[in-house]
Amino acid sequence: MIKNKNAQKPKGMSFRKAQESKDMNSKRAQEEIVGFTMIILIVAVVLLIFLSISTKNIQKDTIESYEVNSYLQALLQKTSECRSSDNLRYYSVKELMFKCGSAEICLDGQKTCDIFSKELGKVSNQSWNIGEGSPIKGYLLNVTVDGGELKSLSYGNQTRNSKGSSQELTRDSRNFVLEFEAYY
Amino acid sequence: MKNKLGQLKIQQMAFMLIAITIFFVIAGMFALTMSSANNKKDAESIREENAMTLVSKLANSPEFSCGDVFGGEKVTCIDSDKAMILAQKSIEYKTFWGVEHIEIKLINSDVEKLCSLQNYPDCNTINILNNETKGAPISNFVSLCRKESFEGESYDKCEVAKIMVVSKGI
Repeated sequence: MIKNKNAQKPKGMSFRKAQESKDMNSKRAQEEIVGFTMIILIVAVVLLIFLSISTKNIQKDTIESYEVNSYLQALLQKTSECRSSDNLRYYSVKELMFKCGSAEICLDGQKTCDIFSKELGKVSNQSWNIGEGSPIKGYLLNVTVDGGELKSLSYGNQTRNSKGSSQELTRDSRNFVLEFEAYY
Repeated sequence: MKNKLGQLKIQQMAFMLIAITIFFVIAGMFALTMSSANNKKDAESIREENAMTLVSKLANSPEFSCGDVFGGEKVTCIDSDKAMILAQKSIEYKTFWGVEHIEIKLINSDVEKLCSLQNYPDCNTINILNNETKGAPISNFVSLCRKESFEGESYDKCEVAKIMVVSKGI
């Protein structure tokens, strides 16, 4: 009997030990899971940072566009309907922009600013075919003088994808900026 | 018991290794897709740049460009009268530019009115080269300038136009 009692003691001990080691194991497993989750989180954060940087670079690339730049050049060189006050020539859109900045009038009495915005709207609508089936969804044209708005016009929808360009010109110490953004 | 614990550990380790491998494979695939997408974008932008360079080169060539005729240097400006003369000599210039099709279209109307010596300048499309082609045209905006007269005085008239080129190489 004594022998049996003695034999039972170590059995109880080993059960407790086994229980303890089981607890230890589950604790370790928990720690490992926490570690693994942390690794995944760190890698995910790094990937997200990488992704955001790369998408930022893509956006930068799409801003530069030869077509929009050429359009602005051609638009500024276009001859307008406004005849100069000396009756010698018609103003170009570029000259019209400068004249509008100083609120001058054409030979026929029309305001240069009215002709300027009419030219901008007419040419932009004809140049950028906006509508169903067209890849261009809209445009935004902004003209500023010394940081203040001179003319602004837009048409269609402004989507997340755009091609844009700007022209900076100086006349009589005044800084004129013409910006065009085509949305597609 | 020890054996079982060891097996459990090995199993745990194996699962960990598999999970990490799968994770890195997915991350690698993602990175690969990203880089290939960037390469595609780069190739597209190079193609676009080449196309635009070709169009600008054509517009600024002595055969088309305005030069100093229209008061000062104009950027990508095409002399409308020169273009009309070239349109009459399309056979002689068939292989000169190495392109299949050149067309200049004024941005003033949706209705196409082909230019000829009879109706010029009351038209909006100058067809300079018109070889049969299946390629997609590349286009760019240009200024199309000519001399006009008003009350006996001549003045420069520039309009916004699009030059369309079809090339075999692009």
